[in-house]
Amino acid sequence: MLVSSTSACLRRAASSSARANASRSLATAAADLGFESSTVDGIKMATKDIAGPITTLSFVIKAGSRYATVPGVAHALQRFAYQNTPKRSGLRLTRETELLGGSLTSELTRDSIILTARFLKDDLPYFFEALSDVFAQPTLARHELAEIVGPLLKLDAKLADADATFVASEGINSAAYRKGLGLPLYAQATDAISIDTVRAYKDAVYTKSNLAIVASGADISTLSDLVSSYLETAPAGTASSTPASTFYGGELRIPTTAGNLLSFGYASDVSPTFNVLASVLGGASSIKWSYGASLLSTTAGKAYAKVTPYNGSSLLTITATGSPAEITSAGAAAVDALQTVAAGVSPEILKKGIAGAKFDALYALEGPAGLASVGKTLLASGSVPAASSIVSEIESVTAESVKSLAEKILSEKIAAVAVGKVSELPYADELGLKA
Amino acid sequence: MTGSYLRTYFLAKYITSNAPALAKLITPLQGFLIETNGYRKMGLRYDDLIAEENPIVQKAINRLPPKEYYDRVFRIRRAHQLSLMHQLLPKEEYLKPEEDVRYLTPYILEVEAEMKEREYFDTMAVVTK
Repeated sequence: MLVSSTSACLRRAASSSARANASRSLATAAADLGFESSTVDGIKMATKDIAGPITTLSFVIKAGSRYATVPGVAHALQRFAYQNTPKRSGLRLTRETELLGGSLTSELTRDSIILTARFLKDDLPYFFEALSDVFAQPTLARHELAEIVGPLLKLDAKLADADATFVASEGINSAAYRKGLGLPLYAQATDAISIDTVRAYKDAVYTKSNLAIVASGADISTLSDLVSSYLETAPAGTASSTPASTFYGGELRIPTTAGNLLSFGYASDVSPTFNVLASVLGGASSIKWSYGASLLSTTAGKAYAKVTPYNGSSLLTITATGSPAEITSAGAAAVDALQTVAAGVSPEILKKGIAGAKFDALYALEGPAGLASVGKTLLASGSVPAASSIVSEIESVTAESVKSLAEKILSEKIAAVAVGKVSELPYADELGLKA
Repeated sequence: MTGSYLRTYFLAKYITSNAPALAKLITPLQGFLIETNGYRKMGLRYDDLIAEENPIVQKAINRLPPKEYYDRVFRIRRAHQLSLMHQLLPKEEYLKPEEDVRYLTPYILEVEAEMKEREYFDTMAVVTK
């Protein structure tokens, strides 16, 4: 008797869950990165149900600094994460997280605001509810801006100013893009951010169409149920539009005591050639205490190349560090390396470059920031990135295209930034570049 | 000080909502008390009289919207000046009953609730099941 009633119960549960599933779009099968994806209530979701005791849950929101209506407002909104909501105070959320064991982080990039919770698998409902609450109905009280968030904004800006690498990257972005991606990441002292601007920005960007939920260690049906129970009432809104990024270029010289750095960058539409060229130039060693074998690691001085992938644009930067004298020689060596590439790329070097670029591109989807990258792609393209297509795109890069990109960087106007003792650092035209 | 102020506040609230007969009895006294107290004759609101020399009220005052804060300072300075000159405002400038708004009390209650919550979390005991 008992058995039959239990099985009837199970049948009921199964049929109701089947009905619930019918109202959703069908979850796609696990792709090659191991993510299953689905759309529930207009919210894009992707999850990797890996074995293990820890779940990582990320809310990736299309609300980064490039969408800021007032410079710095995205930074303020990011720092408002995990403050008071009508359901619980910020203090309660912090203490309860400590009691359950877990960590809550928020991160701001040019493309997104990312709210991440890491916790023990069993606590998924609690943390899902907490993140939904933070996303859907933050109180955004005026006194929180004055007492908590405001000082944090100042602290972030101060710390960033003391980091020469960050100052250089801000400079490169501002010279390269001016607006949009060129807006400063953090609120500056000159930005007057009022609570009304933060509230207006929140209303515009914290919407279901701007949200991607990405998790590892959770299964898709549980997540779907949680979305229906906690995010159904969140505003649907419209997705923030991402205007095409124009590359301008130009030279900035920023005097600071934070350190010396010379950086130049070139950007254009997203292309795997950028990744391969960065990998060919290299500069960073993948093994400790060794120099590596890429072009930049075998030249004098310390310089490295890097690609920053934004939605709609790839930015390649070459950065030289050290004392002003070292930077001058490393900068010249970097231009030499570019000229070597522009003269022609041998098949071995191309092969090495492609292998490095493949690893970097795939590791970006796997490593600590992996969920954020997956969420960003999910929002931009509507589907989870496929490792196979990333690999085939990078493998299709030819020696000719890498060569012509290097030629472009040498002949066209680029973005250049000198940070530190600017009187002793070279100008771009002294190195034979146009800025 | 704030504690006793809040106790009076809650007692008054309790009486008005739960003991209508008692409220009916006491309410006429209210006008008499305010009249004898005389703060409205100096252009003050009731919330201006709350002792501010403690962290809770200090924090609450800091949370006032800028306009409210300015007006509060204005009223208090005007009252000081009147007191110095042993004068009252002209009769038509007395504070009207509808202007006597509890503008500070909600902030005090908010700050106090926050402090209570912090104390609760700082002294909690974890019970294992």
